[in-house]
Amino acid sequence: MRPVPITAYSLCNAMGMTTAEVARALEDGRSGLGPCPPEIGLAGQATVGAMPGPLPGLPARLAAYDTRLARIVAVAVAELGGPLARARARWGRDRVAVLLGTSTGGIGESEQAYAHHRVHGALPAGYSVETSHALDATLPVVAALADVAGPAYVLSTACSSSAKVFAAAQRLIHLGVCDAALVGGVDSLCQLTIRGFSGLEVLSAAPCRPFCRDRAGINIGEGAALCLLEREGEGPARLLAVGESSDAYHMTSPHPDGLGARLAMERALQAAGLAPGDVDHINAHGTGTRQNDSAEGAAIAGLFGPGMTVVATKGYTGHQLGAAGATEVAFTVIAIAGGFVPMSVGAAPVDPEIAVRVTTAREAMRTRAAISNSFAFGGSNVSVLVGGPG
Amino acid sequence: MIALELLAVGLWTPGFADAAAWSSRHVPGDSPGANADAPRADAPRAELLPAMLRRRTSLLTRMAAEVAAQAIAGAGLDRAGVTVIYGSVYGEIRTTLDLLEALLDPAAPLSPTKFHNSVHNTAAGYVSIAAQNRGGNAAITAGRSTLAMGQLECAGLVAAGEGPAVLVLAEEALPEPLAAGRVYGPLAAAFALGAAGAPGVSGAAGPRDMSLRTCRLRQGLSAAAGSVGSLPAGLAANPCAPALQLVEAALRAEATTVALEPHRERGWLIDLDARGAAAEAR
Repeated sequence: MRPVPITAYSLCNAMGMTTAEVARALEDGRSGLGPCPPEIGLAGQATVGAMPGPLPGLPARLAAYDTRLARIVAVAVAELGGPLARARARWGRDRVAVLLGTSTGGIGESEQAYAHHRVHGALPAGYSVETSHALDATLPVVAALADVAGPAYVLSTACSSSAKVFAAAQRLIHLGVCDAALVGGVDSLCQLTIRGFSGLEVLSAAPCRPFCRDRAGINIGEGAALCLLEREGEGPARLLAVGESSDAYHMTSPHPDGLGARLAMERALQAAGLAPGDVDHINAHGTGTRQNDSAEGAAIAGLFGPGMTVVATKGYTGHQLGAAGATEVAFTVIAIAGGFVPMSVGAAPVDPEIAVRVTTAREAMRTRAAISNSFAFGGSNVSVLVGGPG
Repeated sequence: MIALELLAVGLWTPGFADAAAWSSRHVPGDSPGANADAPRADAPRAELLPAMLRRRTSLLTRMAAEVAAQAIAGAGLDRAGVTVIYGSVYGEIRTTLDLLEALLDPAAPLSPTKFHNSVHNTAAGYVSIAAQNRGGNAAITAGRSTLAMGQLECAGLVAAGEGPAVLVLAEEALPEPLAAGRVYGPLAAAFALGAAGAPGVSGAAGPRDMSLRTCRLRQGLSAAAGSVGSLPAGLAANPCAPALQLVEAALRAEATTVALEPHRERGWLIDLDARGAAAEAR
C-alpha cells in the first residue's frame, strides 16, 4: 500500500487545550500530570493527566450526545475546521471517513447514572445507553462537527485502539471506499479505569517514570488526538505503514521477551519496504510498569540494536489508553516536523537493564522515519511507521 | 462496488447451535425454539477456548469464539493465521455492569479479572491466545451499522492481501437498568471472507474452491433489498440482527440482496450471487 500524507493534526490533553500548547510543552519537556480533579470522584487519590481547562458544551443539536468524552473530542475537531473544509471541497463529504479509537467511551456517564439509579430508582434524565455509554456514540458527534459522511466506525482494542485506526484508514483508502479519513482517539478520566488499573496493582501514586530505574507504574490520562489522512496532499509527515500483531500469550502481561512487540515493528518495516537502519527514533509505548518497559526495551534492542533512540511520552500525559496511540503518532509528527526528539519526562536515571538509548533531554534530530508503538490488553500490538513529508 | 467470496458462515443463538440448525426450522420466521426437532443449544460450545476459561468468560466471548470457530472450520482456514474482526455494539456489557456495581463501594477493590474482561477486545484476546494466533485482529463498533462497517474492515484487509478474514458479530442481551426497556436475545454470527475470484493454488483448496457465495458490497437504497423473511420478535431488536438476515440469505440458493443498514434509507447493501454460480464459472 502507498504511504498516506498526514495533512493536518490536532490534539488536546493534560499538556494543553490546543495543539500549539501541547507542542510547546513537548518541546519544553513540561509534564501535564497532576492530582485527580474532584468531578471524577477520586480527588487526592491518584496522579492523573486531566484536561487542563474547562470543556465547552456541545451545540444544541448534539445535546443528546453530551458527555465528557464528546466534549474532549469536540475540542480537537474544532481546530481542524480549515483542513476539513479543504478536504470536503477536494474529495466530497461522503468520501471522508471517520475512524476513532476509544476504550472508555462514555463509561464515566454510566458510573454516575448507575449511582443515580441506586439512589432514585431511575436513570437520570438525559442518560441513554445508546448516546451516553456506547463506544460508537462519539461517531455522530465527530461526523457532525467535521461535517463529513464517509464510512465511520470505532476500533476499541483497549490501549492500542487509536493506533489501529491508522491501519484501517490506510486500507480503506487503498480499497477505494474513501479518499480521506479523520482518524484518532479519545478517552476520558473515569473511576473504572483508575480503580481497575489500581486493582491490577500497576497504578503509581506519584507521576509515572517510564524506563526509569525507579519506575513504579502508570498514571491514567485523558485527551483526544486527530489526524487527517488524505490520498494525496501536502503535510508535515506521511503514514508509511502499520504493523499489527498479537502476543497470543496473556490477557494483561506482555510476552516477557517482547515477541509480539517485535513482530508488530517487523511487520511495519516489511510493509513499508524499510530496514531497521532506516528508522531514526521510536516513540515507545513506555507505560512505566516494570515488566512492560522491560519487554519493550528488549524487543526494540533485539530488532534495532542497543543504540536506537527511544522516547517515552506518558510522563507528559499519563496513559490515555484509547487515545494514547493517536496522541503519540501526533507527538511523532511534531517531533519530525520540529527536527527534534522530545525528552522522556521522568526517565532519568534510566534503568541500566533497558538496553536502548532513552532520551533524558530534548535532542535535535532530523528524522527520516520513526515508529510509534502501542500495546494493549489481549496482547494487541500496533506499530505505526511515520515518515517525513517525502 | 467491492467483490468478495463469502467462504463460510457461523451462527449461534439460544436454541440454534449453528447455521444448519437455524436453516432447518420448520417455518422461516418462526420463533426460536418453535421447532422441537431442531438441535438444542442453550449454551455455546466454544470448544476453541480451554474448558477452564469457558467457565470464567462471558456469554459474549463464548458466542464469539463459537461462531468464529464455525466460520474458520467451514472455510478451511488456519485458526493460527486468519485475521478475525469482532463487531459488537455493547461488547462485554454484563461484565461492565458488574464493575459499575462494584464501583458504588468506594473502598472495594475492583476485580482485576473482571476489569480486563470488560474491554471490547476480550474475545479477540482470548481467541488469539487459545488459537496461538500472532496475527492482527480488531474489535469494532458502529452502532447499528456495525455489520456494514465490519464488512468494509474485512474488505480492506482482503484488498491489502491480509485476507481471508473472519467477521464476527456478537451481542448479549442488554441488562437493566442500562437497557431501560430495550429487550432482545443474544445472537452471534460470523462470515469468512476472501478475495473474489482468487483461484485455488493447484492441488490446494483456495478461496474460490471453498466459496459458499460470491458477494458484492455497494451503497444503495435499503428498500431495494429483497426480503429474507421477518426475524423472530426476540431477536429483531438486537443491534446485530442484520447479521442473522445475511446468514439466512447466504444459506438460500437464490441470488438476493441484503440491506446491511436497514435503519438507514440509503446504506451499504450486499448482493449475493446464486449459490453455485462461482463453481459454474470455474
